[in-house]
Amino acid sequence: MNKILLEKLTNPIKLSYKFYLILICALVLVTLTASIGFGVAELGHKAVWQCITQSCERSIYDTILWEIRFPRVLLGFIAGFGLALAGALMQNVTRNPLADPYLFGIVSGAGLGATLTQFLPISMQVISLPLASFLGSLLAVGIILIVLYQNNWRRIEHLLLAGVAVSFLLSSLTTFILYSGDAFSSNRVIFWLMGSLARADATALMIITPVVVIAAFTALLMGRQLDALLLSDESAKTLGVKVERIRIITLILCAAITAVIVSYCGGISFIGLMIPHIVRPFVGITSSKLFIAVGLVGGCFLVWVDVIARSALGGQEIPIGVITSAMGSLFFLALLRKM
Amino acid sequence: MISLKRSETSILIGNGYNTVKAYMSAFVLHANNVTWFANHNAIIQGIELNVKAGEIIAIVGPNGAGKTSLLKCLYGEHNDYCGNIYLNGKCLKTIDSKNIAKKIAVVSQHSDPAFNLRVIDIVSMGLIPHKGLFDANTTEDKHNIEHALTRVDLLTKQYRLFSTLSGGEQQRVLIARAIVQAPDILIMDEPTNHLDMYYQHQILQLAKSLNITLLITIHDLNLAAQYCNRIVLLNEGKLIADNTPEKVFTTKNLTHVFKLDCAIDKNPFTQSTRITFAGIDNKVKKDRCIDPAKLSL
Repeated sequence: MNKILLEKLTNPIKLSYKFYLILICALVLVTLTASIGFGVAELGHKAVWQCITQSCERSIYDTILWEIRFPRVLLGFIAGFGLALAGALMQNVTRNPLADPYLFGIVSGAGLGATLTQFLPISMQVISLPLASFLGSLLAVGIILIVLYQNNWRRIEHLLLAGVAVSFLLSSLTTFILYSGDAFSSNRVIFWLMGSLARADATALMIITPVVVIAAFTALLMGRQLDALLLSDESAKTLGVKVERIRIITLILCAAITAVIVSYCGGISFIGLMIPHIVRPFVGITSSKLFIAVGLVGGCFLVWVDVIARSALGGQEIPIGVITSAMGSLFFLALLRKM
Repeated sequence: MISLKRSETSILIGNGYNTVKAYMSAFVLHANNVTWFANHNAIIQGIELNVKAGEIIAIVGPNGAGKTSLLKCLYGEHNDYCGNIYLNGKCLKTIDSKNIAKKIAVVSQHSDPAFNLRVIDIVSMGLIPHKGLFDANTTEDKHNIEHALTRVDLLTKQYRLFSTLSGGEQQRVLIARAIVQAPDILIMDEPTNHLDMYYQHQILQLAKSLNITLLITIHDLNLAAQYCNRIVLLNEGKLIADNTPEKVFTTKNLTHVFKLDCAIDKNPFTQSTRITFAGIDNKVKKDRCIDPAKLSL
């Protein structure tokens, strides 16, 4: 028994999953409450705390906190949750530690869709932008799924290569349209592509939340099957796992999560790559434990990135994608050094 | 076609369907005239194989003989073969992959997971065929996993990363997963590859001690003779011999299949058949069947 105890102490996952989950839940609670205190308008921590626990001292505080900041924090949390979950799913299902939901070319597809809205009347552009970018994302995913279908879903490396190809193809079309379009519309699209949570409202939350929740629930149900894929496709098949079916469902889940988030929040990259790598050493790699932890940490991460984005330069907001890309690139290089 | 004995044929006239069904049910696994093509080349041709419960069968033959392909047909990885394979009397192609996994466990050749899986993570995978979408692990499952780890002597290493274990330990992890899977048949594809002498014997001894039907592909003929009670010899996709080690491992069969001269005698420790191959440049001129006693002269 002593040997087993000694082995538990040398377990690469040092502390129990429950401990880390409690820690992460505490982080979520702190994030959701503390982050609404940050913003351009300085309300003071006392006033914010009073608004949370009782009622706001002034009605303007009520508007700022509950109608502007809170939806934005919630959107950041849900979007971060979804992107990190999609990243973990992609890495598990492709057995590639460098996989990311954006490998589908989803951002490029969304970019193309958003760019095409400049040909619509200005009054329609704001409303149609999320819809057009969603359709663009679906176009990218559709092309990749067709490529995989032609390969009988067997060659998973084709997914990565097809993703890169589709990404470049759609980006080149977007660049050409932006180059030949008018400057005002181009600026609007470019700023949107850099990522922002400024579109946070009830509609965005009502569209994104169900997709992320359903995807997370489905991923958890498929947890054992996804774990089996970690060894090899052949090994998974000998355990009775229908590999192609699981792979298609997972890819569709990832595509749906990413497309719906990108259509409202623009291009927020690298969360899907970074967060699973940060979380794995603590909670392990089995799906049921990893997915929940990854989602919660991803949500907190994006909320704090948004806090930096809207408060670092005073009144001027930095696009979120700029911050996540900078952090992600450095993380990527560090990861490659470690591998 | 299935080769029936005379007495079976007479019964067949009376109630043909039931007799054939009863005949097939007598075997846990029954391959009937199985042929499998890869890129229009026949990798295995017309294989007939009947496996009874509790048999320990080694499938041997040179590289490219079709050993792994035959195994893959038998456990349903290749399902585009011609002919029929029956698992407990049911056509394999009609059985759901999950139900096949409840009956057949596979320990395939060395695998290298992309992520740092722990021993216990891999062993727990053995539960997959027995669990539905909403089923959680029970105390009994936990007990089964611990039992399997104890059986392969890895209980104290259950939290180690799979990638940090030796080749022999990794094979034992996969066997523990198979134990949790609780199958009737265990298929092992070259389980002794890359292992030293001690681990080769350890793995085969462990597999044998499970007391279930075993199908093993193996290159070491002496190990096959020592641990298996039946040998299936393949060459260029065809079945050359299927019998006890003493009857299959003859100089005629082995020199024909492996293109090397050989001497056959008994292992002094186990009394199992022992095969000693001459090198490529050491061809024996006259009689290829050598009496080992004469070799020492």
